[in-house]
Amino acid sequence: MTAHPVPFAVKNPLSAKLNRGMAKPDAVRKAEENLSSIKEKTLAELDVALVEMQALATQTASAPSASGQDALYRLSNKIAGIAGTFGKGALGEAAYCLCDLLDRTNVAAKWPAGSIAVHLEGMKILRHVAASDEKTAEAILCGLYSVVNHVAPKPEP
Amino acid sequence: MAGKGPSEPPRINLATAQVLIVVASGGEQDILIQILSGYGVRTINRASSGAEALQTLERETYDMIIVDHALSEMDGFELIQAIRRESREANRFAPVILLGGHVRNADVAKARDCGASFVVSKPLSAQVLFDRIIWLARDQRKFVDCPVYAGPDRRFRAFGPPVGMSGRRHDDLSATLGKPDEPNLSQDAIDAMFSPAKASL
Repeated sequence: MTAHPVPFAVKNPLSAKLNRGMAKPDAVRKAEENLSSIKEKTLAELDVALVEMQALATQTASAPSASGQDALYRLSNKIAGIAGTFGKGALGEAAYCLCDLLDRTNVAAKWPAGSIAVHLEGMKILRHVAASDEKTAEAILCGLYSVVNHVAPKPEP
Repeated sequence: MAGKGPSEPPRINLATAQVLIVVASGGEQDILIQILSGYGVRTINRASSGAEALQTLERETYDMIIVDHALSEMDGFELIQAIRRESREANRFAPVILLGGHVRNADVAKARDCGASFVVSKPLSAQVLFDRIIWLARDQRKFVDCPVYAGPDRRFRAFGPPVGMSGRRHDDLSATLGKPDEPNLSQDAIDAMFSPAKASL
């Protein structure tokens, strides 16, 4: 039988900072004020990412490549990570769905150009759909999930 | 989540905290900086790659490190493993938050085993990140350092060793169940749990 590791105590540098300083409501309010100051700039970055993705989708439709797939995945993951912070949660979810599709795609087999194009069209619409228009967002997302589940179903664990 | 009293909101003074954020995209760096500044953090160092982060970790001591999983070359999981194994002692044991976006299927095990103190899923919100920092500040988990894993003990509760095995750690609970403190629930009480009735107020 191998020797099992013995857990050891360590000093947590954050624990001494607890129970004083800013209260949660004040900290969250200030953080949200700060975030609103960069909202427009960040949404403009998402628009640039969408344009880059469109160019990559066109390029890979005729010449699929692992590098093109990786670049698309990274841009999509970036949008998935940022959009929800600024009230574009449905756009982020669509981008996440495209990440699923790209992650499950074998570039050497069949390249899902049509499915990628559908996702991009959906993301462009969701970029401008108001957060209150939940029905439109839900309909688009349901369609995108159906596409991914049909074209690239989740692998068995 | 409470502060000192049960109804008080939690408080934390991060004015003197030194925080390192390791995020490749400038937009996501800005988001984190705005949130952390709102919490009162004054010293925020940023790195956009694992190599850059390891250089600053050699020079500075951090109270908290926030790492995005999607870094190029060395990914966020590999960076956290390097922090837990190779960096200076003060940084090795620092609270590390892993920011998770979409994780490739092939990377799920790496995410589990990298040694992060907490995983926060993107998109970030000011409220959720604050709660996670408070949780980390209260975290008293011990550390484990062995050939296959270095990081906070992943057992949140000690359920005891499997039946038939002796405990391997001094704080393991006994594998033998004692006598119950209270009598078993009646069958009527169990049935009632499965068919809740509408409350009449």
